[in-house]
Amino acid sequence: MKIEMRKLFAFGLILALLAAAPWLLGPFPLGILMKILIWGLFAMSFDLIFGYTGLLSLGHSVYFGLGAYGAALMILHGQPGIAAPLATGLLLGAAVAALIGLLAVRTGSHGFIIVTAVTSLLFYLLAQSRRDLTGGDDGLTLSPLPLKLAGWSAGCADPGPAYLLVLGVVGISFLLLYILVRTPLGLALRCVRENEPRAQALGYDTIRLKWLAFALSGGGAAMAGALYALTNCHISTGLFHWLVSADALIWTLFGGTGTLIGPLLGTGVFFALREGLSGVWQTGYPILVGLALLLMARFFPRGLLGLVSELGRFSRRWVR
Amino acid sequence: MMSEILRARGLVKRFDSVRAVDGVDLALFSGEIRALIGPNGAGKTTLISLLAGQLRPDAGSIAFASQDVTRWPAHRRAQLGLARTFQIAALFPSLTVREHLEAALQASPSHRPPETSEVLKLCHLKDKQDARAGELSHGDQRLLELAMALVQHPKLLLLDEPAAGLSSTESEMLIQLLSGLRGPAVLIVEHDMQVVFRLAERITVMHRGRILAEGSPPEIERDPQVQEVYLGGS
Repeated sequence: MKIEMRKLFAFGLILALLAAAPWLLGPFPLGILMKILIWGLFAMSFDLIFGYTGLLSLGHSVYFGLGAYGAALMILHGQPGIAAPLATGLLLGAAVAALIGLLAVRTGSHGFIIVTAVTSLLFYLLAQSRRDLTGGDDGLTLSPLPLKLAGWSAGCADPGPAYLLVLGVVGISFLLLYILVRTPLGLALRCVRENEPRAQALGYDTIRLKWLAFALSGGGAAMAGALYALTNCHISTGLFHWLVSADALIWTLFGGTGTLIGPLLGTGVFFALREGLSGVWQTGYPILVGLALLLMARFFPRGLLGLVSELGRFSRRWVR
Repeated sequence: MMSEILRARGLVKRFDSVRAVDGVDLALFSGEIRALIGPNGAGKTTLISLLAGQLRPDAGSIAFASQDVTRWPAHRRAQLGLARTFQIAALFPSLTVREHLEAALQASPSHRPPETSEVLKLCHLKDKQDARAGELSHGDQRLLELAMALVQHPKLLLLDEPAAGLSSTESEMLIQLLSGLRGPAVLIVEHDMQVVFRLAERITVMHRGRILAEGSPPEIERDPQVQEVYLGGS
């Protein structure tokens, strides 16, 4: 219980710091921080199915893309604003994830990778072929969020109050995921990951559990996609590409699988790395990403979080 | 009065051309401890997997707790009160002992109050609650599997060689634990005849996928066919 209080305190402190960011950072770094939060939510949702349930999905870009396009099309052709586009994106992504999940979770672990990879290819081609709706490679251009806060308004280059909206939604999503993985459902998912036949022998309907994790995880990814469309002023069909799913995998592996903080941390590190290198050493980014992953996998298979806990243990021994 | 908890009729399971289980009839009664013995390759583990639902029979039927469960998946049979352990301890390596019992408890339909701490004490795992299963000794892993089954208060408990690889003190502990059980029917596959003769009221002998003999321990000991299979070398 003591630890839980400490965690709650840490969560509050970080949230307060992030909420103060608009007054501490310029528009450009604030925009990057906002992107980290959005893609961090994507990576956390991905880890619900990958790290917690043990299924490697290469199709999570589909739900991010559907969330983004659901929200964008609602803004362009339906009801603009904030709540309606967010809800549309979320529901569209979650519903499609629930449908595709019905098939994907019945195929075993290798089949699952193939089915999810194929769905992202399928949706990518589908989105490409409906240029009238999606804008194809050129994508869709959206106007900034109609959000004003005491004369402070959201723009395409300056997120402004849109940052606070993103922080709020990601913060709530994080809390929901945090609670979810600590409920009996979270424990059941980890049992499925560790030993599925064993979980079945205990009485768990593992197909249903995997489906539920997949749908929830798809819903989280769609939420991130909807936030992206709302704040980015531009989206394109490239969001459906499986490489976008691979990004989530890389961030999660680097940060630490089977956790929520890990994927968020991994996303942050790689965005900072990419921004830091851009303009200095363009080709360096993929090289460094590869190198960092290799070293991490070799020495700290539990990712950045594993590294941190190792360092903690080391320093405590040193102090003594 | 003992009531029938499980009845299998004419069970057949083929693997390619091998009939691993070849027309087995078996009835188990609540409260009894039954040993299932037989030489290696007799089909004992296959039979357990057919009963628990990891395998589907090619022919025959299984009734459990007055329901025809022949086509049911493993998890539904478990929810009806069937628990099993595996020949090679099947656990969740990175989960702690406590999490294993929680997972077993929340998956089980039993409405009895949880007696987790009592089971932990029985299985001598009380001091190891926060240890990860992958870090436990072989003996403790086997006991943890048994503990998971026990917290579920099953109607039928299928144990596949629970004493394999245990030290003599651990085996003794297992015998004490199992003989103290009240309630579930227990079907125990075991090679250690010490364990079998001390626990079982009745013994079923399998050979080449068929039931060779069934009876009380002294009857089985005297049975010429059983002696032939075991001593005549197979």
